[in-house]
Amino acid sequence: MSSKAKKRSLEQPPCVLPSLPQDIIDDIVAHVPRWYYPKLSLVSKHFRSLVASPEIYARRSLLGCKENCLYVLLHNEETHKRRWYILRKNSNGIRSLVLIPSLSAMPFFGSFVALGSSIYVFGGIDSDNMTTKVLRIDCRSHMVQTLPSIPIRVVNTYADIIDGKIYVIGRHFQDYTTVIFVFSTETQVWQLCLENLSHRCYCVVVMGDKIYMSDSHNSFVYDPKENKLERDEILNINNWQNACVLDDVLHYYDCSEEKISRYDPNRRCWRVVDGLEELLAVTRCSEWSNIVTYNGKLLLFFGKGNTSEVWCAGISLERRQGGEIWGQVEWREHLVTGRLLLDKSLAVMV
Amino acid sequence: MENEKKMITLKSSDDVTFEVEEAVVLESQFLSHLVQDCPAPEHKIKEVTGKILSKVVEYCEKHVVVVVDGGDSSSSSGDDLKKWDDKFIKEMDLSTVYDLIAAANYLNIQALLDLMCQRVADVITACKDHKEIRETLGIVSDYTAEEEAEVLKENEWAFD
Repeated sequence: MSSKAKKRSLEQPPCVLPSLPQDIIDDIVAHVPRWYYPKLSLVSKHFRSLVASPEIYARRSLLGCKENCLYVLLHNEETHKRRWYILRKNSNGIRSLVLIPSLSAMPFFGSFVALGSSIYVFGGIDSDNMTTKVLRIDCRSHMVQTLPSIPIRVVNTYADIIDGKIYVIGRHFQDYTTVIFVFSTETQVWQLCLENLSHRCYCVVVMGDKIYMSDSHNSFVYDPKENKLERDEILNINNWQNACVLDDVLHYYDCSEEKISRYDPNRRCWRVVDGLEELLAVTRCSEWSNIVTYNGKLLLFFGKGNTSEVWCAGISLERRQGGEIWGQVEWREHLVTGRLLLDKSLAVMV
Repeated sequence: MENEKKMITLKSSDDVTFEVEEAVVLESQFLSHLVQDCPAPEHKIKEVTGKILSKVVEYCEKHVVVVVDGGDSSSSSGDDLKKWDDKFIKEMDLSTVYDLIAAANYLNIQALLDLMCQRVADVITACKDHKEIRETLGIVSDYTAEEEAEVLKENEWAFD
């Protein structure tokens, strides 16, 4: 047997992947982290078409190999363009934000949500014009598709998801009243929920099956089942903005007070995250900061204006006896250089 | 108790025999059906060599679910199994991995197939670039120099 094996190795390379059935090659590629797909696409034409095929992504889903990728929209103050970057960790464990060159600039003041393996883009200002355009970015291929537009012209849109449906909140372009629409990605049909609202809206989050929104003075809760908007006095204790949601609890960074506060809608109470004094003393001096959630952790992005650097800290939370919430900074890294501000970040399963 | 366990003999293509408990054989869907349909004490597996079948048997013996007294099912603990799997695949050259993939596919042992595919995926991700991937996996590029330069430009951002 050994002489047979030896003979074979003389005739052809001993390890030839293409000799395996295509099904198996698909399985192997599905097990490779998505970060390596650009490298794979350079191997041969066959691999290039393989990593772009829907079958590979279906296989990744089936095998439980999907990854939660963080897409970050950064505004470049020099070019005045908003472009998508991906947070990646290289083989040495070093994190960075890398530009996705194939995705064009996004509209200003547009709203963005992630559903499935897609990012949906609603409205905003595109080349100096107000737009009602809706785009779907397929994060598997980075191809962009145009969907039915928002039915009326709205500005300052915000979007979030409940039960797989996208709720879009915006202000009517003529009378500046607020309207709430719902968009079904399945049927691609728009439906008006509420209109002629006097409430303004500066920040929107979803917790449980309700939408929480705030203007600079008031906080409201929208319940889609009852199609009703009500004030939330306890939520309104703090002037929250740029908030994110982790485990159905709202978190926001109050840079003037140097604290991260959280609001639990079920217990209806606010609490400060302890243990972050050292980090927040640093970020307080930054030009801008923004808190987001990713893979069960908080990420605090901040800009160092003097050096034009975008930094990020990864924070894990722990509940201690007595209900105190303690944050621990797991890492703090410089991610990208440039006059860049964070506009939006979304975790997408790919 | 030991005597009650039903033993089955598997014979490889090159006539190497392995005597294993029936429970071990049941890890393979293909062999489960074979044993049920044809209750002979010995089964020849023409498509798998002795070298590879010994690896398959080693894997299945480790992963077999043992029914302990009281009827509870248990196997080695998850962490121990993972450590064992890591050691099992690390010691293997790619040529053996491919043969084992073919065997796991033929014998329909999904967990072994997954493990082996993961091993090849790990080998791919350890390559620093597309040239090393080609060399390691024995793939011949069908790009022209111009086409390759074009694709490289599109994907440059993803390289270290």
